[in-house]
Amino acid sequence: MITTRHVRNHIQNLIDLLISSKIAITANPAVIVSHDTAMRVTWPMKSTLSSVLIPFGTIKEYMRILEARAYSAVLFDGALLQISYDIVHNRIMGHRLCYYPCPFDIDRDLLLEEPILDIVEAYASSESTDVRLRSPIRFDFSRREGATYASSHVHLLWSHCRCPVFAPLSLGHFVRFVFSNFYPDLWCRHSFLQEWPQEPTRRTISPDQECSLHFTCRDA
Amino acid sequence: MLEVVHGKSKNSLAVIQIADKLQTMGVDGTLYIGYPILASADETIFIDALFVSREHGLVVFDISQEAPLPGDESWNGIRDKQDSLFFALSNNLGRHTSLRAGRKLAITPNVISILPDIATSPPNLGGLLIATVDSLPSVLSGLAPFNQEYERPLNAALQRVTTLKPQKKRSAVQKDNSRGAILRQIEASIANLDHWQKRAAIETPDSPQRIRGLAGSGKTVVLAFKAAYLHTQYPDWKIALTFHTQSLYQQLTELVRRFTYEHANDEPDFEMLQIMHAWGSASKPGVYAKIAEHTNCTVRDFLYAKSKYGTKEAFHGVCVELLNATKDDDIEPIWDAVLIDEAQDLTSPFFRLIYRFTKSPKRIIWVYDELQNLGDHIMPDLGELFGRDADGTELVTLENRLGEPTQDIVLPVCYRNTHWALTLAHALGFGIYRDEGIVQLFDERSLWDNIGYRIVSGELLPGKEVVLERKPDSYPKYFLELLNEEDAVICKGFESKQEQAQHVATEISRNLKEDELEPDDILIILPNPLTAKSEGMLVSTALAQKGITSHIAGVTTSRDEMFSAGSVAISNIYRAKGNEAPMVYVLNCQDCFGGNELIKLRNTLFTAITRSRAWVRLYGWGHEMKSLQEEVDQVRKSSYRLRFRVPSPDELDRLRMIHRDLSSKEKGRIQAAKKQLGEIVESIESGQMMLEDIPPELREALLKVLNTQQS
Repeated sequence: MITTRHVRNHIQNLIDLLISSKIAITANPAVIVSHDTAMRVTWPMKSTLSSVLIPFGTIKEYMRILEARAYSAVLFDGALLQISYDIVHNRIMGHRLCYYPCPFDIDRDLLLEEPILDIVEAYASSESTDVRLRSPIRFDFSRREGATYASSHVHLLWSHCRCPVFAPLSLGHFVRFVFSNFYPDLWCRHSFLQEWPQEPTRRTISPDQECSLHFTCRDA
Repeated sequence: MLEVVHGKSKNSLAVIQIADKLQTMGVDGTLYIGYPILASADETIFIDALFVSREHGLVVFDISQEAPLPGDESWNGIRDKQDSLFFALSNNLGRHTSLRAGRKLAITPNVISILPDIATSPPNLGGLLIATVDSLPSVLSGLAPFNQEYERPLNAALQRVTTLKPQKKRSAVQKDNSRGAILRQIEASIANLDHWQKRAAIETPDSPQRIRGLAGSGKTVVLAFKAAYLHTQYPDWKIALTFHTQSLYQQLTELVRRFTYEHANDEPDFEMLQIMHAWGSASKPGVYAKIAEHTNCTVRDFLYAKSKYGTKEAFHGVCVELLNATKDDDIEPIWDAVLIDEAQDLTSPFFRLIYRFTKSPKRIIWVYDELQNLGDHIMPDLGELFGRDADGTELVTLENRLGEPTQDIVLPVCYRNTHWALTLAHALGFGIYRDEGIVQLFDERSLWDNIGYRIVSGELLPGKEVVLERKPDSYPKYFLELLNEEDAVICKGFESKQEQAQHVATEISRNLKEDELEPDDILIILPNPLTAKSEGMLVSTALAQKGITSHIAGVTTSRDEMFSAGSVAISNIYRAKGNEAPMVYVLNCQDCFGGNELIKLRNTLFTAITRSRAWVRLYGWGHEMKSLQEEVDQVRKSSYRLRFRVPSPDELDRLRMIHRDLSSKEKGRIQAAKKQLGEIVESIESGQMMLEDIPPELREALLKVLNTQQS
């Protein structure tokens, strides 16, 4: 049974391990807030993110997320993790699992020592050639009446891009995807990443959506 | 005793004569020359001199250059001027409820016109007070004293410090002797500028001026006051007020705005009074960037500087570059006056740039506290700081001359910290009771006296033993009345950082529930900036488990507010600088106990302790914390006195060399050498290697080096 508290503890454990293993340089605690009819496990919301106004996958959006502290964790290279689940009656009814790479190759010591946004602003305002064209990868799950896209999908490159995903993802799916693909060294070094369980979730992809290229995986 | 504070007056010669006359009369009080500036509805009014004395009340001196003739219309002019000064001062004071008695002003100002001579009696203009310098005693003797209960509020009003402390209501305080109740009493006391602060704030010589002061001695307030005062007095001057820590911008701007309102009842003109970071950022201009633009040089940004000179030397590097690029040019200077806060954190090429781009007579005012230096540069001497001319003579020298604005001021009274906390901060900062010996010490031995220490026994001479303690007048009396030394400073060691975090959470929970403190009365400082972001999370989680909200300040941006109502602030040492809180928890103190770059580590500890306004807790874990606890115990056992042998100048130089900041290359080299040495010792001890395997000449050389260093 998936309880809100269980999900919250699960996320908090991951955050604490990321911090103690120095993979994350800072993080926000996982908190439980009510959201419409659901209970949302998320990072503490300090201000509303106006994602409508700021284009997806831009330096501006990255900085806005930092400024609003709208992240679960900031990794050692400036990448952001956003982990949020909506739970209704012990079932996952929504999630936002986002890996947002830092748009710059930033000096790691600086990231530790100085306020992160100050450094990013310095990089953004300089004629730095350290800028990296990397798209955020955001796994969303939401059931919308009349939606033509898969309820579980991933945004890549554009906000309107919604590649179908076979089912809502557990935290373990997300952890495995991010660390085994983008941080292979860390993945090999830290057993907690490898051992984080991929919990089975109910398949939501439609037969039509299965006919096009999509993200899927079998239960381990 | 008469205290004379030398502001600027256009009639300075006559005012000096008044000062001399008052001196010969042996009166007590303060004579402010060219101060305060008053704002009426339609003009700014400059006062020649203001005399505040218990015996003679509040007196404005207005200097007239010519004596009016009988029946002369100019008597009316004198009368009008007196009326204008009277109402301007009365209105100014009347804004303060503490100076009102019913619907009247509790203290009535007197205005005396000082004339060169009084050949004829004035027409009957009731209430007109006139005198020559010689007849001043008889005129003053006719004036009534003021009620002493108004003295402190009057001084606070005249010194523009009434609105400085935001008064917390502390309405939740129920108990009589809780920490919250104690803070209420401390915060209710009326601040007055002390003798040194008055001089530092109001006196500006036609030359450079150095202001040194302890943490919590009011340096930043004094500098902001001075900037606003100069700006009001000389609105056509281009003035720069600069600083090192980005987060100071808000605080300085707010202070300058408040003081300018007090002086001129108007907003500062920020085109003329420029408050700028020393370097600048993408969004804000800086002094360096202004000079570069002014000289058509490329403004180097942080990334350029970092990749060319390394992170630590980045600012130093771009300043040297700009200095070299402009050295042969005859370029117009920019500023009429430059005021520099946190000068200990700025590099000497920056000072040389300031010197080059400040108009004669080089009104450069710099403020610092050597022990709060968290950077990579030790405050050099004047020759090194500003440079020398072709003959090798220092460009800037400082000398305090009697009867003139002071050039070199030390603020000795610490209003923020208890004398226990400050003595402890000095003891740990200097490593006075460290087993391996002192880490650093003032070169200038007279500074001990200047910063409020007195000799209990011994002598402050190289090679001699000395015992020092805080002078009784170097801290506010209420610390002794309201606090006690056992509780003011507590040092505690733990087995692990987890245990430390749990204990902090328990203590803070008690602070909030039983001690009647508010969350924003509490500041948690993490000394190591490299781990502060993640270590802060550990503490934040422990607090959250007890239902306590906290925030890590400065993680995202230096523009973050340090304190937030309802939340405990957690901060690294850089962000904590310039801030203060009644209850300060310094965690991971073991990080500052030993190792390379010890001067910086000990300065970090000093800066952290001196953030506390009442109570400070030093926590840490592991065996190095135990050693630090022993140092703290020594301070306690010595009854908060500093006992040490005064090192010679050569020894001080050597200490500086040993404990200096290291470049990353040096650090790497030392680390590698330590590792190799460790491996050699281990191999010999374990029998894997014989002593004889080391060539005899190398063994001999090693022994020789070790023996020399130990002796």
